[in-house]
Amino acid sequence: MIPYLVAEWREWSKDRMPRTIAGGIAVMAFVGAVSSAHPYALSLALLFQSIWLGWYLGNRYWRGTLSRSKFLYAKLSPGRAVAGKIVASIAIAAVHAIASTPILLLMAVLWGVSAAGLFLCLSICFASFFVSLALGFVSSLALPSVEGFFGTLALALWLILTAAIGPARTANPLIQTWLCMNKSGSASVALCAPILFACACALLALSVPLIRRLRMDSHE
Amino acid sequence: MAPGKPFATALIVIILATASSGASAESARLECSLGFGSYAVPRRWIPLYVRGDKSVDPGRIELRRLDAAGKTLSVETFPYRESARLECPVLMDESCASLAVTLRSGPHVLAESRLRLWDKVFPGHIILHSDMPSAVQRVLSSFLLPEEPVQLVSVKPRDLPGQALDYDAVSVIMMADPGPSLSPSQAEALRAWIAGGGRLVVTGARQGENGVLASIDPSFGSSGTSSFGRGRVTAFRAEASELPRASLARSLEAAVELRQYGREPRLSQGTMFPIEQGSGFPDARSGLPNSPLVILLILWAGAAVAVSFVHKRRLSYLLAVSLACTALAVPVGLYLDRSWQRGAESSVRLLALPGSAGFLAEAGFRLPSSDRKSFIPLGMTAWGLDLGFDVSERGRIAPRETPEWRHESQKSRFSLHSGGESNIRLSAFLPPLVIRDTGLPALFGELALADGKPAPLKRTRQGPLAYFSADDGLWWKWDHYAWRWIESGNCPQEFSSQEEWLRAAASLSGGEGLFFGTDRLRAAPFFLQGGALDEALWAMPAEAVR
Repeated sequence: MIPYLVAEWREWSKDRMPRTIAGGIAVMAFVGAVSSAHPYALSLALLFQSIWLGWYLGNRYWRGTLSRSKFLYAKLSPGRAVAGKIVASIAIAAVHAIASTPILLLMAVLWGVSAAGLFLCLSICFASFFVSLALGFVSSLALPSVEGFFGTLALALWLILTAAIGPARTANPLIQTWLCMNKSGSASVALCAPILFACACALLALSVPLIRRLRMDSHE
Repeated sequence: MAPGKPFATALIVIILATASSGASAESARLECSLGFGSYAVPRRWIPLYVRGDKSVDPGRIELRRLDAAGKTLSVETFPYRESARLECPVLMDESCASLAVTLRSGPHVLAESRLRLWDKVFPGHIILHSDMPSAVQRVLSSFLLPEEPVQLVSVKPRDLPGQALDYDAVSVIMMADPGPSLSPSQAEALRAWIAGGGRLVVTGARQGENGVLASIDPSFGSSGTSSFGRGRVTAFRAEASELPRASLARSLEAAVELRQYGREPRLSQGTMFPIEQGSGFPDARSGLPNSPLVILLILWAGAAVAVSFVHKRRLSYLLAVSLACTALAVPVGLYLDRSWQRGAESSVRLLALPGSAGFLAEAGFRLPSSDRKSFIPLGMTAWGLDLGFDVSERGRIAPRETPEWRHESQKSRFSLHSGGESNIRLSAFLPPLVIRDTGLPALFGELALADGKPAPLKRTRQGPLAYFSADDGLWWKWDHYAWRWIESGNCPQEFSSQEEWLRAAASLSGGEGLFFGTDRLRAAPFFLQGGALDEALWAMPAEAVR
């Protein structure tokens, strides 16, 4: 697990991460400037960045990519490889979160957002990152030839269906972020992150037998 | 039996049941009356009485003020009780053309009544009389002739208004002594009205506790004339029919001393808080522009983007920039929070009536239109103001919403003066000693910005000093001068005529610094900024000083 983690981290920290961080800061700064650091505007911006980052980290294993080759032919058990991937992704996400801390703190002070509200918002963003990471990861592994089409579709369906179906709204990060920033006191806000985490973990758990199967097929 | 008969019978039953239920839903009736004898005086408060005949639980009376186009200007609601007469002061403001009075039970409208405000207007003195013979009525109605007429309206003592604001348009009340039959609220309202310049004439006055005068104020004699504040009470032992005809006119003129309308020195809501002199926000800050925040964010983003082009250790530099900005975020955020006009502007005017009869109050709240924080219309009202007074009255103003004032009791202190988008103006009569121990902050029991951030009352450095100039009169800081006078009993000569006022103001003060002046009432702007309310203003008309 550690070697994979280190390899992933090095690959990102050298080139991609500074750009994604700088880009993320630029987006948050723009949104903050035009909305006067409005809580919902910034939390939406952070949410979409989280989803994008998770997708960017996860949806890289379609056919012909170096990432796929490295992952499938790594001398690690599927479980450890997936664990390494998860830990590396969390570390990368954490660094991005640190970069967004200034404006989030500013927002909290200006708009009176409580620590609990901020924590809930960040947990929803993090859980959404995890879900999009899992969706991208599994879809790019399972359907390598379509370069993320079905994964994108799944992502869109997740956001649309959970918004449209009443009982499923607890799993919609857009709605729950709105409720969180509106201080509505809705219980569903606290449930959103755990539900999303559980879904993401289930998807990632599916990836282990999938990787095993892919390795067997590739050896054959 | 014919085949279609059961069906036809069922259909008839269904139709009858529907009709009866519809009839019962519409059978509630509202009796509404406005003004005195339906007469209303422009720019004065007049009473609106509403009574319903249906038992509704829970029910609410909704009063909507409508402009000439029928658009709702503001909404005021009261709890409904069957057969209990609701009294609601209404201001005759030119912007309000009519009133829509609705009886509701939840979302259902059970009865509705429309009242046109300007059908019977009388811009002059209104004299209420009770059980007065025609000779007396002739004398009363000829007081100011031929210059101007006066309007006589007959009322029963039990029907006298119970709210001080409703006496705004009343100049004189003449009645036969009904005994101690007035309710405490009527007595309190009459006392305040007299203190502010009202003229009460009682015939057949009874002595002591058997008479109506003792219930209003124990100092009122049962014969002769008693001055009280700016007003007077004249009591005749004789019944109205027994008053000498030869000197009737002279006696009543001496008792009433009615002046030309508009020239009488009365202290009432309409004269002291005129419509055009609204709860202004003359020095209202429009809010700092967004530029400090924008500059900060540009610097932050610029630094991050610049660092991303560095060849080595980009990630370390980026994290360093982020950590440095994190350290700055809290102090910068606090500075911006203090500087921004994120709250509501509030303007409060209070007039202490002579004779410790109470206080006339007016409060205005407004959300600044230059609220930069709602730049992006996210459909979420960033700023709104929830007001609560004395837990029995609640209101709300917000952008793009009609202001609402909700009473939880039929007897309420505050009445809705006017309102519009993002602003509300309230008028009230506060009885003496109502908030003696807790001071001014108790006047505003609960103020919360609609984003949930509480608005604790606290003093700020910004006071009304910059607003009032030396031309307005004499300004001294209360806690330096007036308090010492109260304690030592040695009021300086130039303020000796104001000592009574200062004592009355002291009853409402918690001893904090208050500013007062001797000018005609001027509004002092206060700001709810992060929950701050500046000092209140106590003032009295210049005429009282002279």
